[in-house]
Amino acid sequence: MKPAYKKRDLLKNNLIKRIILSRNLQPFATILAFAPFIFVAVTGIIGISSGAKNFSVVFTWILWSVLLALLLVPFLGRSWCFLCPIVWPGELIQRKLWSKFGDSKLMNMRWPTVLKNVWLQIFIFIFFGIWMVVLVTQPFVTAIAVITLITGATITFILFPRRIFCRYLCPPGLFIGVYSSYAPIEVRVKDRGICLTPSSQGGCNKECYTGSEKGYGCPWLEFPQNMVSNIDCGLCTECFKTCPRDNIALNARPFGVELESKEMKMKSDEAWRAIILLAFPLVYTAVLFGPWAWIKSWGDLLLYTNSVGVTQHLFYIILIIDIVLGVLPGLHLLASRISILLSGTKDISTKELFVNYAYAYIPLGLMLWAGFNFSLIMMEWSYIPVIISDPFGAGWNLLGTTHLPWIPITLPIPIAETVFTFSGVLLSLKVGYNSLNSIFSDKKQTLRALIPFATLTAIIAIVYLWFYI
Amino acid sequence: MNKHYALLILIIIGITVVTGISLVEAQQQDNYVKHFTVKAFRFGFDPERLVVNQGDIVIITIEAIDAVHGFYIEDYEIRQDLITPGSPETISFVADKRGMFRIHCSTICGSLHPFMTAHLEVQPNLRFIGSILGITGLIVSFIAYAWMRRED
Repeated sequence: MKPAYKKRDLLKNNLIKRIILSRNLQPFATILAFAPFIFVAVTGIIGISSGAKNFSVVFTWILWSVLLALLLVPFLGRSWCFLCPIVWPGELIQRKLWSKFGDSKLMNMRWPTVLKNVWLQIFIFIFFGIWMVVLVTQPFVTAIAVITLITGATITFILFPRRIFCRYLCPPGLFIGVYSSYAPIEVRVKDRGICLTPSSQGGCNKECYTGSEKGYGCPWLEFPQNMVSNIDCGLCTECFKTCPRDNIALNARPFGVELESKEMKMKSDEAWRAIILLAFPLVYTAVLFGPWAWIKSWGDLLLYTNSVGVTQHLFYIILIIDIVLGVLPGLHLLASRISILLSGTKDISTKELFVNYAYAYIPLGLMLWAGFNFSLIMMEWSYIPVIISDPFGAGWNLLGTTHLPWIPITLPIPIAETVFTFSGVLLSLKVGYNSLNSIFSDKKQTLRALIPFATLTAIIAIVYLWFYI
Repeated sequence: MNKHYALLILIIIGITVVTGISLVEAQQQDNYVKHFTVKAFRFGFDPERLVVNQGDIVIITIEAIDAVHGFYIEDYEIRQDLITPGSPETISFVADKRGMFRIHCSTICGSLHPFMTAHLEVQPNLRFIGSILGITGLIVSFIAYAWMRRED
């Protein structure tokens, strides 16, 4: 069968194949990533309290988050999950220690069916997002967040099999997962027919899911033969190792094709995930880069010592939750309703359209996140050589750059923000149009249905740009 | 191509262009000397938005209220570090570049220092108006393109 889009298997290159099949690659990459995060925890706890002078804040929120949003996720999808240090201790216990005890019930607890969606992950992300003002400025809080994530992951790995934490709980995973669907890389089976062939007729025993002596069964609980999306594929490379028929490909593909593919299964929780993640770069931009001092101080819980302050902080929480879970989803619901009215259809419900079109916001969201992070790195990059030279803020001058002044690079910001936003609008419209086109048979109907969503996309883009240009 | 829809697209483009030109004209004023006194405090500036017209001579006196602060305007590259409470500093410049420029504190003053910002808007803000027009144009063009494109 002809593939829905152009793709090229990178494993045809022998060097890439050898690297991917190596059992040493992931532990090596994970240890490399684990070291700085342990240092984040240490510097956050015992280092200087000023975020701009502490390794903890500068590494996590200026270097790592920017690397994630500008490079890793847009170009390599869930590549961070491949080397994620947060789950390393838990996975080590699960694979090396727990495996010796066989199938104990304690370590193989069932994840509740009611939680087999991303809602809990969404609420954890919002919880962290609400306290961003404190999180991105206070080294101690950043350290606590890292320690909490590592502890939470370890406990989950001890109690539940495989990567339940990554799939249903991890807050950065909420962001990485949904935007990995836009990346130009994917893991897919080469020929589904081979997967469907019984082992007695030369097929396999589903080693990609169950595991074999060559590797572990998919830690992400994905079944490669049915995989049509990157969202829940952690690029762990285990299926490459376990497949006895060499039937798994690491494909390079055009950006965003997955979102336009008819095979993509639209889910309500994923739709909310896309909308909520679109709201956050707007909220972050308004709170952190906006001119309003009051909202920053309302968001900074640590500034408060009296009941008035706590009340203001509660209002702040309500405001953020309102925007993220109320205003933007509400506007999208309204656009969906108007879209139904304009198209004149009775064959599709508002809810169905709400879910289907939400995926079209993924490119726009990704571009706004990239824009926010681009502005951040341009403004704050000069703190990086400072903290490398003096990570604890203890007065060291290891590299001679401790006293480097703040040197923002402001010139490219308005141009870059305009490019990011315009690209996001255009790519969203493209995905949205194709999505609507698969729902409505008539082109005029499709275009009429697109108008409310296009208007909402324009409003979001203009509001975002107001803060930058 | 359906004439009614072509007419509709032309009307939308026309309205957008006329609105844009009117907005630009409305913002164009005579040039003046604009004097502001800006209070810098943890973690913001008062007033939080300074609005001037292109060509204005802008004089800003910055008073640090609660800590040592700095004052930096993006793109204009105007920077005054180490403004101490009780010792106001004055800067002046000609607002020759149009647009919105973020103002930052340039001296580390506490936890939220990297996000201590205000806005300077030099009108007419053609960059923003142009963006509104650009996004509208992009959407109209996309719809027109999708409409005229022959489906496979």
